[in-house]
Amino acid sequence: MTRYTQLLLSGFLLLFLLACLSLAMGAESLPIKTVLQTLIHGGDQDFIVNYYRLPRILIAILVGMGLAISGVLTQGIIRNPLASPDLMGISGGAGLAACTMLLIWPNIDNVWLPPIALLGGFSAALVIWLLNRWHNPSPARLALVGIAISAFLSSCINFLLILHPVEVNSAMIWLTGSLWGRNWDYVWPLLPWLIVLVPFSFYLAWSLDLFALGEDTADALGVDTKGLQIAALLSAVALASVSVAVCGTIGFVGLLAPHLARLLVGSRHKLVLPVAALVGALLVLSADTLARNLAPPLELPAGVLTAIIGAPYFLFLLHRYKGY
Amino acid sequence: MLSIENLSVAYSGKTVLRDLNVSIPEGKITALIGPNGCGKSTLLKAISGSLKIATGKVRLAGQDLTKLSHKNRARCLSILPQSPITPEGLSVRQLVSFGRNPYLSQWGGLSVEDLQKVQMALVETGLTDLADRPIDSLSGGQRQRAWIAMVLAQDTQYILLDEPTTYLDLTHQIELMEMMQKMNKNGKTLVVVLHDLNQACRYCDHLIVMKEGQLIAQDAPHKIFNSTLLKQVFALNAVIINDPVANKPMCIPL
Repeated sequence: MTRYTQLLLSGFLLLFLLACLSLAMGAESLPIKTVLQTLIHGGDQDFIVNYYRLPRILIAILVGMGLAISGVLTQGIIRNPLASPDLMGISGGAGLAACTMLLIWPNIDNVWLPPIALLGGFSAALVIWLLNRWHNPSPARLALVGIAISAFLSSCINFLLILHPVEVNSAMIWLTGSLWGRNWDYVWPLLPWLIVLVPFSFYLAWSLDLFALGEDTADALGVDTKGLQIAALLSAVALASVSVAVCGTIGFVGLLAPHLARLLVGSRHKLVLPVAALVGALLVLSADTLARNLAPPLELPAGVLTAIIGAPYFLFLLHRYKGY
Repeated sequence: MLSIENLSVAYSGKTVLRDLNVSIPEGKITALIGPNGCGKSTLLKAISGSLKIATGKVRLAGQDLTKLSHKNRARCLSILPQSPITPEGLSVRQLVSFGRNPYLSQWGGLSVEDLQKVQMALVETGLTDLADRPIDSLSGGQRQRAWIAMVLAQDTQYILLDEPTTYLDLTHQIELMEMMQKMNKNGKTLVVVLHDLNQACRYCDHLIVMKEGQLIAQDAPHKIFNSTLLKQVFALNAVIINDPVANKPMCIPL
Protein backbone atom coordinates (compact mmCIF):
# COMPACT_ATOMS: atom_id res chain seq x y z
CA MET A 1 0.00 0.00 0.00
CA THR A 2 1.52 3.32 -0.99
CA ARG A 3 1.87 6.20 1.44
CA TYR A 4 -0.80 8.03 -0.52
CA THR A 5 -3.37 5.24 -0.18
CA GLN A 6 -2.62 5.04 3.53
CA LEU A 7 -3.15 8.77 3.85
CA LEU A 8 -6.44 8.62 1.96
CA LEU A 9 -7.70 5.65 3.99
CA SER A 10 -6.78 7.27 7.31
CA GLY A 11 -8.59 10.41 6.13
CA PHE A 12 -11.74 8.42 5.36
CA LEU A 13 -11.50 6.59 8.68
CA LEU A 14 -11.10 9.89 10.54
CA LEU A 15 -14.08 11.33 8.70
CA PHE A 16 -16.18 8.26 9.52
CA LEU A 17 -15.25 8.39 13.22
CA LEU A 18 -15.92 12.10 13.36
CA ALA A 19 -19.30 11.56 11.72
CA CYS A 20 -20.21 8.88 14.31
CA LEU A 21 -19.11 11.19 17.10
CA SER A 22 -21.10 14.01 15.61
CA LEU A 23 -24.19 11.79 15.38
CA ALA A 24 -23.85 10.89 19.06
CA MET A 25 -23.08 14.32 20.47
CA GLY A 26 -25.34 17.30 20.90
CA ALA A 27 -27.91 18.82 23.22
CA GLU A 28 -29.08 15.23 23.74
CA SER A 29 -26.03 12.91 23.87
CA LEU A 30 -26.55 9.31 22.77
CA PRO A 31 -24.39 6.19 23.18
CA ILE A 32 -22.64 5.17 19.93
CA LYS A 33 -24.43 1.80 20.07
CA THR A 34 -27.84 3.49 20.04
CA VAL A 35 -26.71 5.71 17.18
CA LEU A 36 -25.65 2.75 15.02
CA GLN A 37 -28.85 0.84 15.81
CA THR A 38 -30.97 3.88 15.01
CA LEU A 39 -29.13 4.40 11.70
CA ILE A 40 -30.12 0.93 10.57
CA HIS A 41 -33.44 0.19 12.31
CA GLY A 42 -34.82 3.59 13.33
CA GLY A 43 -36.49 3.60 16.72
CA ASP A 44 -36.99 6.11 19.53
CA GLN A 45 -34.11 8.33 18.50
CA ASP A 46 -35.03 8.20 14.82
CA PHE A 47 -35.75 11.93 14.60
CA ILE A 48 -32.57 13.15 16.30
CA VAL A 49 -30.22 10.78 14.45
CA ASN A 50 -31.76 10.30 11.02
CA TYR A 51 -33.67 13.51 10.46
CA TYR A 52 -31.71 16.06 12.43
CA ARG A 53 -28.03 15.11 12.73
CA LEU A 54 -27.42 12.82 9.72
CA PRO A 55 -28.45 15.27 6.96
CA ARG A 56 -26.53 18.02 8.71
CA ILE A 57 -23.39 15.86 8.75
CA LEU A 58 -23.82 14.99 5.09
CA ILE A 59 -24.21 18.67 4.22
CA ALA A 60 -21.08 19.53 6.23
CA ILE A 61 -19.14 16.89 4.25
CA LEU A 62 -20.52 17.94 0.86
CA VAL A 63 -20.02 21.65 1.47
CA GLY A 64 -16.50 21.11 2.81
CA MET A 65 -15.61 19.12 -0.30
CA GLY A 66 -17.15 21.71 -2.60
CA LEU A 67 -15.35 24.65 -1.01
CA ALA A 68 -12.01 22.79 -0.91
CA ILE A 69 -12.15 21.71 -4.58
CA SER A 70 -13.20 25.20 -5.56
CA GLY A 71 -10.11 26.49 -3.75
CA VAL A 72 -7.79 24.01 -5.52
CA LEU A 73 -9.14 25.04 -8.93
CA THR A 74 -8.91 28.76 -8.17
CA GLN A 75 -5.36 28.55 -6.85
CA GLY A 76 -4.35 26.32 -9.76
CA ILE A 77 -5.53 28.76 -12.40
CA ILE A 78 -4.70 32.07 -10.75
CA ARG A 79 -1.38 30.65 -9.45
CA ASN A 80 -1.86 32.76 -6.37
CA PRO A 81 -1.53 31.21 -2.91
CA LEU A 82 -3.96 33.78 -1.51
CA ALA A 83 -6.71 33.00 -4.02
CA SER A 84 -9.83 31.27 -2.78
CA PRO A 85 -13.52 31.73 -3.54
CA ASP A 86 -14.35 33.42 -0.23
CA LEU A 87 -11.36 35.76 -0.16
CA MET A 88 -12.06 36.82 -3.73
CA GLY A 89 -15.65 37.80 -3.01
CA ILE A 90 -17.28 35.02 -5.04
CA SER A 91 -18.85 33.41 -1.98
CA GLY A 92 -20.04 36.87 -0.91
CA GLY A 93 -21.87 37.32 -4.21
CA ALA A 94 -23.46 33.89 -3.96
CA GLY A 95 -24.49 34.53 -0.33
CA LEU A 96 -26.05 37.91 -1.09
CA ALA A 97 -28.09 36.47 -3.95
CA ALA A 98 -29.36 33.50 -1.91
CA CYS A 99 -30.11 35.65 1.14
CA THR A 100 -31.96 38.27 -0.92
CA MET A 101 -34.11 35.64 -2.54
CA LEU A 102 -35.05 34.06 0.78
CA LEU A 103 -36.00 37.42 2.27
CA ILE A 104 -38.19 38.32 -0.68
CA TRP A 105 -39.78 34.88 -1.10
CA PRO A 106 -39.38 33.12 2.27
CA ASN A 107 -41.36 30.09 1.11
CA ILE A 108 -39.51 29.41 -2.12
CA ASP A 109 -38.48 25.82 -2.85
CA ASN A 110 -34.87 25.04 -1.84
CA VAL A 111 -34.18 23.69 -5.32
CA TRP A 112 -33.90 27.31 -6.47
CA LEU A 113 -31.22 28.21 -3.94
CA PRO A 114 -28.17 26.82 -5.83
CA PRO A 115 -29.01 28.37 -9.22
CA ILE A 116 -29.74 31.76 -7.64
CA ALA A 117 -26.51 31.62 -5.63
CA LEU A 118 -24.71 30.63 -8.84
CA LEU A 119 -26.01 33.79 -10.50
CA GLY A 120 -24.68 35.85 -7.58
CA GLY A 121 -21.31 34.06 -7.64
CA PHE A 122 -20.89 34.57 -11.37
CA SER A 123 -21.79 38.27 -11.09
CA ALA A 124 -19.16 38.76 -8.38
CA ALA A 125 -16.62 36.85 -10.49
CA LEU A 126 -17.44 39.09 -13.46
CA VAL A 127 -16.88 42.23 -11.36
CA ILE A 128 -13.51 40.91 -10.11
CA TRP A 129 -12.52 40.11 -13.67
CA LEU A 130 -13.52 43.59 -14.88
CA LEU A 131 -11.56 45.25 -12.07
CA ASN A 132 -8.43 43.22 -12.79
CA ARG A 133 -8.43 42.77 -16.53
CA TRP A 134 -6.32 45.83 -17.36
CA HIS A 135 -3.21 44.23 -15.99
CA ASN A 136 -2.14 40.93 -14.53
CA PRO A 137 -2.77 41.64 -10.86
CA SER A 138 -0.20 40.76 -8.23
CA PRO A 139 -1.41 38.20 -5.68
CA ALA A 140 -1.84 40.75 -2.93
CA ARG A 141 -3.73 43.14 -5.20
CA LEU A 142 -6.16 40.42 -6.21
CA ALA A 143 -6.68 39.50 -2.56
CA LEU A 144 -7.21 43.16 -1.64
CA VAL A 145 -9.78 43.70 -4.38
CA GLY A 146 -11.50 40.51 -3.23
CA ILE A 147 -11.52 41.55 0.41
CA ALA A 148 -13.00 44.93 -0.53
CA ILE A 149 -15.73 43.25 -2.57
CA SER A 150 -16.41 40.72 0.21
CA ALA A 151 -16.70 43.52 2.77
CA PHE A 152 -19.11 45.41 0.52
CA LEU A 153 -21.25 42.34 -0.12
CA SER A 154 -21.46 41.36 3.54
CA SER A 155 -22.49 44.89 4.48
CA CYS A 156 -25.26 44.53 1.87
CA ILE A 157 -26.33 41.31 3.62
CA ASN A 158 -26.23 43.11 6.99
CA PHE A 159 -28.38 45.89 5.60
CA LEU A 160 -30.92 43.43 4.21
CA LEU A 161 -31.13 41.58 7.51
CA ILE A 162 -31.79 44.82 9.35
CA LEU A 163 -34.53 45.75 6.90
CA HIS A 164 -36.14 42.32 7.15
CA PRO A 165 -35.44 41.05 10.67
CA VAL A 166 -35.23 37.27 10.85
CA GLU A 167 -34.55 34.76 13.59
CA VAL A 168 -30.94 35.12 14.83
CA ASN A 169 -29.81 31.62 13.79
CA SER A 170 -30.91 32.04 10.20
CA ALA A 171 -29.30 35.47 10.10
CA MET A 172 -26.05 33.81 11.19
CA ILE A 173 -26.15 31.53 8.14
CA TRP A 174 -25.79 34.50 5.82
CA LEU A 175 -23.48 36.54 8.03
CA THR A 176 -20.82 33.99 8.98
CA GLY A 177 -21.89 30.64 7.56
CA SER A 178 -23.72 28.08 9.67
CA LEU A 179 -25.39 24.70 9.31
CA TRP A 180 -28.19 25.51 11.73
CA GLY A 181 -31.45 23.78 10.85
CA ARG A 182 -30.12 22.21 7.64
CA ASN A 183 -32.02 18.99 6.94
CA TRP A 184 -32.71 16.57 4.10
CA ASP A 185 -34.52 19.35 2.20
CA TYR A 186 -31.12 20.95 1.65
CA VAL A 187 -29.21 17.76 0.77
CA TRP A 188 -31.18 16.99 -2.40
CA PRO A 189 -30.84 20.41 -4.07
CA LEU A 190 -27.08 20.34 -3.45
CA LEU A 191 -26.30 16.79 -4.52
CA PRO A 192 -26.81 16.88 -8.33
CA TRP A 193 -24.53 19.90 -8.69
CA LEU A 194 -21.71 18.19 -6.86
CA ILE A 195 -22.23 14.91 -8.74
CA VAL A 196 -21.49 16.78 -11.96
CA LEU A 197 -18.90 19.32 -10.78
CA VAL A 198 -16.63 17.13 -8.64
CA PRO A 199 -15.82 14.54 -11.37
CA PHE A 200 -15.41 17.38 -13.85
CA SER A 201 -12.72 18.92 -11.61
CA PHE A 202 -10.88 15.60 -11.58
CA TYR A 203 -11.13 15.56 -15.36
CA LEU A 204 -9.14 18.85 -15.40
CA ALA A 205 -6.44 17.60 -12.98
CA TRP A 206 -3.80 16.56 -15.55
CA SER A 207 -4.13 19.79 -17.56
CA LEU A 208 -3.86 21.81 -14.35
CA ASP A 209 -0.53 20.08 -13.63
CA LEU A 210 0.74 21.26 -17.01
CA PHE A 211 -0.72 24.73 -16.49
CA ALA A 212 1.41 25.01 -13.35
CA LEU A 213 4.52 25.13 -15.58
CA GLY A 214 3.38 28.52 -16.88
CA GLU A 215 0.92 29.48 -19.58
CA ASP A 216 3.52 29.51 -22.38
CA THR A 217 4.85 26.08 -21.49
CA ALA A 218 1.35 24.62 -21.25
CA ASP A 219 0.51 26.12 -24.66
CA ALA A 220 3.64 24.59 -26.16
CA LEU A 221 2.72 21.18 -24.70
CA GLY A 222 -0.61 21.31 -26.50
CA VAL A 223 -2.94 22.39 -23.69
CA ASP A 224 -5.85 24.60 -24.71
CA THR A 225 -4.98 27.09 -21.97
CA LYS A 226 -7.83 29.55 -22.65
CA GLY A 227 -10.38 26.75 -22.56
CA LEU A 228 -8.84 25.27 -19.42
CA GLN A 229 -8.90 28.60 -17.59
CA ILE A 230 -12.55 29.17 -18.44
CA ALA A 231 -13.61 25.61 -17.55
CA ALA A 232 -11.74 25.55 -14.25
CA LEU A 233 -12.82 29.00 -13.10
CA LEU A 234 -16.48 28.40 -14.00
CA SER A 235 -16.40 25.11 -12.06
CA ALA A 236 -14.71 26.83 -9.11
CA VAL A 237 -17.34 29.58 -9.01
CA ALA A 238 -20.15 27.03 -9.35
CA LEU A 239 -18.79 24.76 -6.58
CA ALA A 240 -18.36 27.65 -4.16
CA SER A 241 -21.77 29.14 -5.01
CA VAL A 242 -23.81 25.97 -4.53
CA SER A 243 -22.04 25.35 -1.21
CA VAL A 244 -22.80 28.87 -0.07
CA ALA A 245 -26.43 28.49 -1.19
CA VAL A 246 -26.96 25.89 1.51
CA CYS A 247 -25.07 27.19 4.51
CA GLY A 248 -23.66 30.62 3.79
CA THR A 249 -20.03 31.65 3.57
CA ILE A 250 -18.09 29.26 5.78
CA GLY A 251 -14.84 31.16 5.47
CA PHE A 252 -11.25 30.05 4.85
CA VAL A 253 -12.05 26.40 4.00
CA GLY A 254 -11.28 27.07 0.32
CA LEU A 255 -7.94 28.59 1.35
CA LEU A 256 -6.87 26.16 4.08
CA ALA A 257 -7.80 22.80 2.57
CA PRO A 258 -5.76 23.13 -0.67
CA HIS A 259 -2.71 24.38 1.21
CA LEU A 260 -2.86 21.56 3.71
CA ALA A 261 -3.36 19.00 0.93
CA ARG A 262 -0.34 20.30 -1.00
CA LEU A 263 1.74 20.16 2.15
CA LEU A 264 0.76 16.49 2.54
CA VAL A 265 1.01 15.18 -1.04
CA GLY A 266 2.89 17.69 -3.23
CA SER A 267 1.64 19.59 -6.23
CA ARG A 268 0.05 17.00 -8.58
CA HIS A 269 -3.64 17.84 -8.87
CA LYS A 270 -4.69 14.21 -9.26
CA LEU A 271 -3.36 13.64 -5.73
CA VAL A 272 -4.19 17.06 -4.28
CA LEU A 273 -7.90 17.10 -5.21
CA PRO A 274 -9.07 14.04 -3.21
CA VAL A 275 -6.96 14.97 -0.19
CA ALA A 276 -8.15 18.60 -0.26
CA ALA A 277 -11.76 17.38 -0.50
CA LEU A 278 -11.22 15.17 2.56
CA VAL A 279 -9.54 17.96 4.50
CA GLY A 280 -12.37 20.35 3.60
CA ALA A 281 -14.99 17.85 4.74
CA LEU A 282 -13.10 17.25 7.99
CA LEU A 283 -12.75 20.99 8.61
CA VAL A 284 -16.41 21.83 8.13
CA LEU A 285 -17.65 18.75 9.99
CA SER A 286 -15.41 19.39 13.00
CA ALA A 287 -16.33 23.08 12.99
CA ASP A 288 -20.03 22.21 12.98
CA THR A 289 -19.70 19.48 15.60
CA LEU A 290 -17.86 21.89 17.88
CA ALA A 291 -20.38 24.62 17.09
CA ARG A 292 -23.23 22.39 18.26
CA ASN A 293 -21.49 21.13 21.38
CA LEU A 294 -19.59 24.04 22.93
CA ALA A 295 -22.64 25.43 24.73
CA PRO A 296 -25.73 23.34 23.98
CA PRO A 297 -28.52 24.03 23.32
CA LEU A 298 -27.08 27.32 22.05
CA GLU A 299 -25.24 27.14 18.75
CA LEU A 300 -22.19 28.92 17.44
CA PRO A 301 -22.02 29.44 13.68
CA ALA A 302 -19.53 27.01 12.11
CA GLY A 303 -18.07 29.88 10.07
CA VAL A 304 -16.79 31.54 13.24
CA LEU A 305 -14.81 28.42 14.12
CA THR A 306 -13.23 28.01 10.65
CA ALA A 307 -12.25 31.68 10.78
CA ILE A 308 -10.47 31.12 14.10
CA ILE A 309 -8.05 28.75 12.31
CA GLY A 310 -8.24 30.40 8.89
CA ALA A 311 -7.53 34.03 9.68
CA PRO A 312 -4.17 33.42 11.42
CA TYR A 313 -3.17 31.12 8.57
CA PHE A 314 -4.02 33.86 6.06
CA LEU A 315 -1.78 36.27 7.99
CA PHE A 316 0.97 33.63 7.99
CA LEU A 317 0.67 33.30 4.19
CA LEU A 318 0.89 37.07 3.76
CA HIS A 319 4.01 37.03 5.91
CA ARG A 320 5.59 34.06 4.12
CA TYR A 321 5.13 35.37 0.60
CA LYS A 322 6.85 38.70 1.15
CA GLY A 323 6.98 41.08 -1.76
CA TYR A 324 3.29 40.76 -2.53
CA MET B 1 10.51 23.12 -43.78
CA LEU B 2 9.03 25.52 -41.24
CA SER B 3 8.12 28.77 -42.92
CA ILE B 4 6.65 31.96 -41.54
CA GLU B 5 4.77 33.95 -44.16
CA ASN B 6 3.80 37.64 -43.86
CA LEU B 7 3.48 37.27 -40.11
CA SER B 8 2.27 40.27 -38.12
CA VAL B 9 1.70 40.18 -34.38
CA ALA B 10 0.57 43.00 -32.14
CA TYR B 11 0.11 43.11 -28.45
CA SER B 12 -1.06 45.86 -26.11
CA GLY B 13 -1.80 47.86 -29.25
CA LYS B 14 1.84 47.79 -30.44
CA THR B 15 2.96 45.94 -33.54
CA VAL B 16 5.85 43.69 -32.51
CA LEU B 17 6.29 41.75 -35.73
CA ARG B 18 5.52 43.27 -39.12
CA ASP B 19 5.20 41.26 -42.35
CA LEU B 20 7.86 38.81 -41.31
CA ASN B 21 8.97 36.16 -43.81
CA VAL B 22 11.37 33.55 -42.47
CA SER B 23 12.06 29.99 -43.46
CA ILE B 24 13.82 27.54 -41.20
CA PRO B 25 15.84 24.86 -42.98
CA GLU B 26 15.14 21.27 -42.01
CA GLY B 27 17.75 19.15 -40.25
CA LYS B 28 19.85 22.10 -39.11
CA ILE B 29 20.47 24.18 -36.03
CA THR B 30 19.21 27.71 -36.57
CA ALA B 31 20.08 30.56 -34.22
CA LEU B 32 17.69 33.47 -33.81
CA ILE B 33 19.69 36.54 -32.89
CA GLY B 34 19.01 40.25 -32.46
CA PRO B 35 18.98 42.96 -29.80
CA ASN B 36 16.64 42.81 -26.77
CA GLY B 37 13.06 43.52 -27.73
CA CYS B 38 13.53 42.72 -31.42
CA GLY B 39 10.69 40.21 -31.38
CA LYS B 40 12.52 36.88 -31.08
CA SER B 41 10.45 35.59 -28.17
CA THR B 42 7.29 36.98 -29.74
CA LEU B 43 8.07 35.01 -32.89
CA LEU B 44 8.38 31.79 -30.86
CA LYS B 45 5.14 32.53 -29.01
CA ALA B 46 3.34 33.18 -32.28
CA ILE B 47 4.58 29.85 -33.63
CA SER B 48 3.47 28.00 -30.46
CA GLY B 49 0.04 29.60 -30.59
CA SER B 50 0.27 31.38 -27.23
CA LEU B 51 -0.07 34.69 -29.03
CA LYS B 52 -2.80 35.64 -31.40
CA ILE B 53 -1.58 36.22 -34.93
CA ALA B 54 -2.93 39.36 -36.63
CA THR B 55 -2.10 38.28 -40.19
CA GLY B 56 0.08 35.68 -41.86
CA LYS B 57 0.70 31.97 -41.73
CA VAL B 58 3.00 29.52 -40.02
CA ARG B 59 3.50 26.54 -42.31
CA LEU B 60 5.12 23.26 -41.52
CA ALA B 61 5.58 20.93 -44.50
CA GLY B 62 2.87 22.88 -46.30
CA GLN B 63 0.37 22.58 -43.42
CA ASP B 64 -0.91 25.74 -41.69
CA LEU B 65 -0.03 25.25 -38.02
CA THR B 66 -2.46 27.90 -36.83
CA LYS B 67 -5.31 25.76 -38.18
CA LEU B 68 -4.29 22.62 -36.26
CA SER B 69 -5.70 21.66 -32.87
CA HIS B 70 -3.53 22.40 -29.83
CA LYS B 71 -2.44 18.79 -29.45
CA ASN B 72 -1.79 18.20 -33.14
CA ARG B 73 0.39 21.29 -33.29
CA ALA B 74 2.29 20.08 -30.23
CA ARG B 75 3.03 16.84 -32.09
CA CYS B 76 4.72 18.82 -34.89
CA LEU B 77 6.90 21.14 -32.87
CA SER B 78 7.93 21.66 -29.28
CA ILE B 79 8.93 24.91 -27.63
CA LEU B 80 10.77 25.56 -24.41
CA PRO B 81 9.88 29.06 -23.16
CA GLN B 82 12.42 31.38 -21.62
CA SER B 83 11.53 30.97 -17.95
CA PRO B 84 9.12 28.14 -17.28
CA ILE B 85 7.83 27.79 -13.71
CA THR B 86 9.07 24.84 -11.64
CA PRO B 87 6.30 23.60 -9.34
CA GLU B 88 7.49 22.70 -5.84
CA GLY B 89 8.35 19.06 -5.29
CA LEU B 90 7.82 17.90 -8.89
CA SER B 91 10.23 15.09 -9.79
CA VAL B 92 12.33 15.04 -12.96
CA ARG B 93 10.48 11.97 -14.27
CA GLN B 94 7.10 13.60 -13.70
CA LEU B 95 8.21 16.73 -15.53
CA VAL B 96 9.54 14.71 -18.46
CA SER B 97 6.27 12.74 -18.63
CA PHE B 98 4.43 16.05 -19.19
CA GLY B 99 6.18 16.12 -22.56
CA ARG B 100 3.93 13.22 -23.64
CA ASN B 101 0.79 15.36 -23.27
CA PRO B 102 0.07 15.73 -27.03
CA TYR B 103 -0.33 11.93 -27.28
CA LEU B 104 -2.45 11.44 -24.15
CA SER B 105 -6.14 11.64 -23.37
CA GLN B 106 -7.48 14.41 -21.15
CA TRP B 107 -7.03 12.10 -18.13
CA GLY B 108 -3.28 11.86 -18.80
CA GLY B 109 -2.63 8.10 -18.38
CA LEU B 110 0.75 7.06 -19.84
CA SER B 111 1.06 3.92 -22.00
CA VAL B 112 4.09 1.61 -22.11
CA GLU B 113 5.26 3.43 -25.23
CA ASP B 114 4.97 6.79 -23.45
CA LEU B 115 7.02 5.50 -20.54
CA GLN B 116 9.68 4.25 -22.98
CA LYS B 117 9.90 7.67 -24.62
CA VAL B 118 10.25 9.29 -21.20
CA GLN B 119 13.04 6.87 -20.32
CA MET B 120 14.80 7.54 -23.65
CA ALA B 121 14.68 11.28 -23.03
CA LEU B 122 16.16 10.78 -19.55
CA VAL B 123 18.98 8.65 -20.97
CA GLU B 124 19.72 11.10 -23.77
CA THR B 125 20.06 14.00 -21.31
CA GLY B 126 22.04 11.93 -18.78
CA LEU B 127 19.39 12.29 -16.07
CA THR B 128 18.62 8.65 -15.25
CA ASP B 129 20.31 8.87 -11.86
CA LEU B 130 18.42 12.04 -10.96
CA ALA B 131 15.04 10.94 -12.35
CA ASP B 132 13.27 10.70 -9.01
CA ARG B 133 14.75 13.83 -7.47
CA PRO B 134 12.60 16.96 -7.14
CA ILE B 135 13.57 19.53 -9.76
CA ASP B 136 13.86 22.34 -7.23
CA SER B 137 16.73 20.43 -5.59
CA LEU B 138 18.83 20.34 -8.80
CA SER B 139 21.56 22.72 -9.96
CA GLY B 140 20.84 25.20 -12.75
CA GLY B 141 22.53 23.06 -15.39
CA GLN B 142 20.72 19.87 -14.36
CA ARG B 143 17.44 21.72 -14.21
CA GLN B 144 17.84 23.00 -17.77
CA ARG B 145 18.65 19.43 -18.88
CA ALA B 146 15.39 18.27 -17.25
CA TRP B 147 13.44 20.83 -19.30
CA ILE B 148 15.25 19.71 -22.46
CA ALA B 149 14.33 16.11 -21.59
CA MET B 150 10.66 17.14 -21.34
CA VAL B 151 10.87 18.65 -24.81
CA LEU B 152 12.61 15.53 -26.15
CA ALA B 153 9.84 13.32 -24.73
CA GLN B 154 7.44 15.37 -26.86
CA ASP B 155 9.13 13.61 -29.79
CA THR B 156 8.74 16.31 -32.44
CA GLN B 157 10.74 16.99 -35.59
CA TYR B 158 11.15 20.66 -34.69
CA ILE B 159 12.43 21.89 -31.32
CA LEU B 160 12.44 25.61 -30.48
CA LEU B 161 14.36 26.85 -27.45
CA ASP B 162 14.05 30.38 -26.08
CA GLU B 163 17.36 31.53 -24.54
CA PRO B 164 18.19 28.13 -23.01
CA THR B 165 21.69 29.22 -21.94
CA THR B 166 20.87 32.55 -20.31
CA TYR B 167 21.09 31.54 -16.65
CA LEU B 168 23.90 29.00 -17.01
CA ASP B 169 27.62 29.31 -16.37
CA LEU B 170 29.97 28.91 -19.34
CA THR B 171 30.68 25.19 -18.77
CA HIS B 172 26.98 24.38 -18.70
CA GLN B 173 26.34 26.64 -21.70
CA ILE B 174 28.84 24.62 -23.71
CA GLU B 175 27.39 21.36 -22.37
CA LEU B 176 23.94 22.46 -23.53
CA MET B 177 25.14 23.56 -26.98
CA GLU B 178 26.86 20.18 -27.42
CA MET B 179 23.69 18.41 -26.34
CA MET B 180 21.85 20.37 -29.04
CA GLN B 181 24.39 19.20 -31.61
CA LYS B 182 23.80 15.63 -30.51
CA MET B 183 20.02 16.07 -30.83
CA ASN B 184 20.61 17.52 -34.29
CA LYS B 185 22.70 14.49 -35.29
CA ASN B 186 19.79 12.30 -34.18
CA GLY B 187 17.63 14.04 -36.76
CA LYS B 188 16.06 16.97 -34.93
CA THR B 189 15.71 20.43 -36.40
CA LEU B 190 16.53 23.03 -33.76
CA VAL B 191 15.75 26.72 -33.52
CA VAL B 192 17.37 28.51 -30.63
CA VAL B 193 17.31 32.09 -29.40
CA LEU B 194 20.82 33.06 -28.31
CA HIS B 195 22.50 36.19 -27.02
CA ASP B 196 26.08 34.96 -27.30
CA LEU B 197 26.91 35.67 -30.96
CA ASN B 198 30.12 33.65 -30.91
CA GLN B 199 28.29 30.59 -29.63
CA ALA B 200 25.64 31.12 -32.30
CA CYS B 201 28.32 31.16 -35.02
CA ARG B 202 30.19 28.22 -33.59
CA TYR B 203 27.35 25.79 -32.95
CA CYS B 204 24.65 26.78 -35.43
CA ASP B 205 24.40 26.14 -39.17
CA HIS B 206 22.06 28.98 -39.96
CA LEU B 207 21.51 32.47 -38.54
CA ILE B 208 18.31 34.50 -38.55
CA VAL B 209 19.06 38.10 -37.65
CA MET B 210 16.18 40.31 -36.50
CA LYS B 211 15.76 43.92 -35.52
CA GLU B 212 12.61 45.81 -34.53
CA GLY B 213 10.33 42.98 -35.57
CA GLN B 214 11.84 42.62 -39.01
CA LEU B 215 14.18 40.22 -40.69
CA ILE B 216 17.59 41.73 -41.46
CA ALA B 217 19.49 38.72 -42.79
CA GLN B 218 19.40 34.93 -42.84
CA ASP B 219 22.06 32.49 -43.98
CA ALA B 220 25.06 30.46 -42.82
CA PRO B 221 27.30 32.32 -40.32
CA HIS B 222 30.33 32.57 -42.64
CA LYS B 223 28.18 34.19 -45.34
CA ILE B 224 26.47 36.95 -43.34
CA PHE B 225 28.28 37.46 -40.04
CA ASN B 226 30.40 40.57 -40.58
CA SER B 227 31.15 43.92 -38.97
CA THR B 228 28.65 45.81 -41.15
CA LEU B 229 25.83 43.55 -39.91
CA LEU B 230 26.84 43.99 -36.25
CA LYS B 231 26.99 47.76 -36.71
CA GLN B 232 23.57 47.78 -38.37
CA VAL B 233 21.77 45.42 -35.96
CA PHE B 234 23.44 45.89 -32.60
CA ALA B 235 25.02 49.36 -33.13
CA LEU B 236 28.26 47.65 -32.14
CA ASN B 237 31.74 48.27 -33.51
CA ALA B 238 33.55 44.97 -33.75
CA VAL B 239 36.17 43.13 -35.76
CA ILE B 240 35.45 39.67 -37.09
CA ILE B 241 38.22 37.10 -36.94
CA ASN B 242 38.34 33.41 -37.71
CA ASP B 243 37.84 31.22 -34.63
CA PRO B 244 41.01 29.06 -34.81
CA VAL B 245 39.38 26.09 -33.06
CA ALA B 246 36.05 25.79 -34.84
CA ASN B 247 37.00 27.58 -38.05
CA LYS B 248 33.91 29.81 -37.76
CA PRO B 249 33.58 33.61 -37.69
CA MET B 250 33.96 35.21 -34.28
CA CYS B 251 33.48 38.80 -33.18
CA ILE B 252 35.60 40.89 -30.86
CA PRO B 253 33.88 44.12 -29.80
CA LEU B 254 36.03 47.24 -30.06
